[in-house]
Amino acid sequence: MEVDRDSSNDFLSNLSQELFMIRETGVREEGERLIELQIGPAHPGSGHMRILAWVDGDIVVRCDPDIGFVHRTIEKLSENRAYIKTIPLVERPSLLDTTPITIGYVNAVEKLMGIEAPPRAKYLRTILAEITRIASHFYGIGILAVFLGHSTGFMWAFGDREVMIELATMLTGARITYAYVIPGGVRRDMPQNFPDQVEKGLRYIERRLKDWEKLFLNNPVVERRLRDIGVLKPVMARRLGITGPNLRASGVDYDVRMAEPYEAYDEIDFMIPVAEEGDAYARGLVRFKEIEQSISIIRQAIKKIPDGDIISPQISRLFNPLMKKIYAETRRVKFPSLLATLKPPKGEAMARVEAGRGEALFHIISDGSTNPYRFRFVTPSFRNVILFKYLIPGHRVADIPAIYGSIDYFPPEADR
Amino acid sequence: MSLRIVEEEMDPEIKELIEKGFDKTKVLKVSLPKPGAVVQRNVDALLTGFKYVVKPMRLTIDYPYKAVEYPEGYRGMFRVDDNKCVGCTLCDVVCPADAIRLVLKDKKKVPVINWGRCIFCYFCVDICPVEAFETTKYHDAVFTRFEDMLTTLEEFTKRPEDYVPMRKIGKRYKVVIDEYRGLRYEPVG
Amino acid sequence: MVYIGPLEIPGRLIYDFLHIFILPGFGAILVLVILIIWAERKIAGLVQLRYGPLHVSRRIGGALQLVADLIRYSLQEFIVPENVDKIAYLMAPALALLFAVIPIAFMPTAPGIAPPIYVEPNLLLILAVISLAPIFVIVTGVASDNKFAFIGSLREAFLMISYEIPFIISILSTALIYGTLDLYKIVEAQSKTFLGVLLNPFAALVAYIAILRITGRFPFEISEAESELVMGPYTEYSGLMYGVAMGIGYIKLYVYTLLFSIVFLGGWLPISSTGNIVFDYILGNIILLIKASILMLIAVFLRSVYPRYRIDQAVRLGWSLILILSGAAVAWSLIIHLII
Repeated sequence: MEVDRDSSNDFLSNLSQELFMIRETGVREEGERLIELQIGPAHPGSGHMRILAWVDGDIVVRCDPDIGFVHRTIEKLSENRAYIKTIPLVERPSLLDTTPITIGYVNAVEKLMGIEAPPRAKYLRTILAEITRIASHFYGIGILAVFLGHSTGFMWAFGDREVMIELATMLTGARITYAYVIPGGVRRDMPQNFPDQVEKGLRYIERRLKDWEKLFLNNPVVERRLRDIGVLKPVMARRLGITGPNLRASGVDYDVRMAEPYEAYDEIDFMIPVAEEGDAYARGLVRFKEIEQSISIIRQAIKKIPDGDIISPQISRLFNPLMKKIYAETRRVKFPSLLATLKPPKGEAMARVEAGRGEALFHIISDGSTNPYRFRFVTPSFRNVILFKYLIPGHRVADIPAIYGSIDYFPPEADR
Repeated sequence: MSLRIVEEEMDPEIKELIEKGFDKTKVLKVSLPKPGAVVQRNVDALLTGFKYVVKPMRLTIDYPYKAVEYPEGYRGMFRVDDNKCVGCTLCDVVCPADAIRLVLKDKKKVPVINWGRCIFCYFCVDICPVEAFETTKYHDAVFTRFEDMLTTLEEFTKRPEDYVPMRKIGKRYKVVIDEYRGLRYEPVG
Repeated sequence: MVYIGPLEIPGRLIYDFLHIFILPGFGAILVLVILIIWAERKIAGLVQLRYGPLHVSRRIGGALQLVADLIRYSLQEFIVPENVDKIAYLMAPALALLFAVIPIAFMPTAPGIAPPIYVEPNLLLILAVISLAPIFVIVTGVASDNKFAFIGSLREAFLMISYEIPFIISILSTALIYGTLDLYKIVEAQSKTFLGVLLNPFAALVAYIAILRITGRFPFEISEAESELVMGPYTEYSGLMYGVAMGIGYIKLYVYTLLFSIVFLGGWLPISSTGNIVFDYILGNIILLIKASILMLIAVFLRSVYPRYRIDQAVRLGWSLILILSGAAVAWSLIIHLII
């Protein structure tokens, strides 16, 4: 595909003129009527970023996001570290749905090395990925609620998320930063009472979703604040490159789990929720429906999980006798020393996953040594941040937090 | 449009996907609910909130008068058994945060840890070929000085409860997931 | 008006001191505001699946949390920014508090005893004085040299106009039924006929919603919206003035609910003057405060259920639905006045 650079700048300025005219604001340049509001990093409604808004009375005329406050140079740091040491590093930016990001990275490394995880490990990875997807969607819903002023929605979201975190603690041993997925499989097997506790947790969440509907989704004030706010048409969504539930709420049906299935997703039957309207209410509702779909995925995965190894035989043949004994007794995978000094052959590999907020892309170039030559990773929040520039103008100042909460932008994930 | 797509160079799979689209049975059409009667919805919301005032359902625990006992396998602080350690230095190689460093004891290298840097990922515990680390679930550490976090060998061979300063906490409770209340806390022992 | 007439000294002085400083004046304000803020946080905690404030005084469920908060605010450094308008910055919150508290001196709160300042149309005087308080809130926002405070006071100005008018109309329409502007005679008239809330339910509804807006309770917490403007007009305050800014909404809530319970819920009914003055004073005030507390508890419970409105939606609601309902209240009270 050839991209014409001059006309793509023209294209973007035409697009912005078009969007302004749709909003009918009337004032296009700065003059004496405008106030510049810096909703800066030390503000209760801004997160780790700065939003610059030019306001005429109560209507926002122009809005620019100012990101980069939490940039931790993950991509550059990984060039000085072995492949396995980057696994805890790469799960830190997107701290809410850590497991899909680690799955993506490990899939890229496995493609370079040419090994594959056994089926039981794939199912375990899928179960943990869906548990963290529910936790991540609850976080997004909680932030949307607190930006509207609904502190009960915030506390309920974090309380229900806590049940999922306790389930993950039973499985992996840590609350949020699991480092559970390694090239070749996973690190631990699930304990004996895990399926029973998972079923209870899922039933609790289903019970609570009914209360959520009555208190939050059907609340007249919430609906007045969110309906017809920040409407994203499907054509614009495709042109701007939006991913995740924001795209699915605009009417475009696209999900990486269906387009290019990874792990155990091609053996599990699920649906992807798509809404037509594209406003902030639709984006919140699509997240609720995705939680219900994740519940059904976890139930199917727990029923269908096959027995067997949880680590690929190419790694487990390097165990010494003590490691074999520990693996046979407690099903805990010890690392052979090869994993610390992994040297994949020269080449490059790509993997994409569907994280909680959208599609994440991992591209590793290896030159045959223990450190990667280049590791590029694109997160979904970074692709969605352009919505600040195009959705907010024409709305009121009180709609800035509503739109921010509904697109579920997480600054550390975008800044990496 | 300014993006020109050159048709002949595209992957045939992607071409087919763009033309065919998804399997439409897998798409769940979410329709926004029609706004109903305002009075009814207000009353519903108020009654739902009032239900929780009358029958509270607390998910939190009153720390530090009560504390949580995590399940088996929780990644807490650990100690090294320096009789088992053979000095292979793999734990230093694999630590992602550079928290473990090695000191010499009788011409053998043994690890000591910097608790300020440790991220409790347990890569070192899992890579040790002789299983020299003994793990505990202890995590309630409260350090008051920075120097206390850099352990010496003699400290690192002791159990964490003996040398790591800790705050006074009450009884321990185990977390059980409950269908009606979410999390239920049952006393241990 | 039997026991202590307006001109009998020294009983008058003792009673004035008690009325202004102990009950229902500053003493009751202090105790009730502390308990209501604690109740708000505790109720919010119950709905939100957590404990509320519990650490400060564990045996009584953390009720003294607000005393700890007030001590902390008093001892904190009070920073005055350099380019604010100093006189307005320092005086405006104090004046807002003053005009919110003065109406207590005009209200009769016990059967048979005149309040410290007794004039015939004391309802009108109370409404006039209490409507001055939002002006000083607007002054605080403009005096602080901050864009967010400025936007907060603009919002307060819009909302003050759109919700004070229905409130005044609904209260005066209830006074129209009884045919008098004297609060004492209104309570006497309610003891002979029905309670105000039964005689004119439209007016009671409009007055309650207007009270929610004027004191900044959810869903109308718009001028101090925390996720859009940092603290609204009070952004630049720290130290003791911040404590005053936090408390001013609750003090206004107390005064407004006292007025509401006298006009609509019958004040100190069902008791009437017995022979004993001390008994009447204490019992009458306690009954009135219980009625006011129930209304305050309902108002703070709404925090757990609703988010906040947008400014144009709230103003539109005020000028369309609430104003029409208050017009209906006036029409209804005309009909009732002709019947009774």
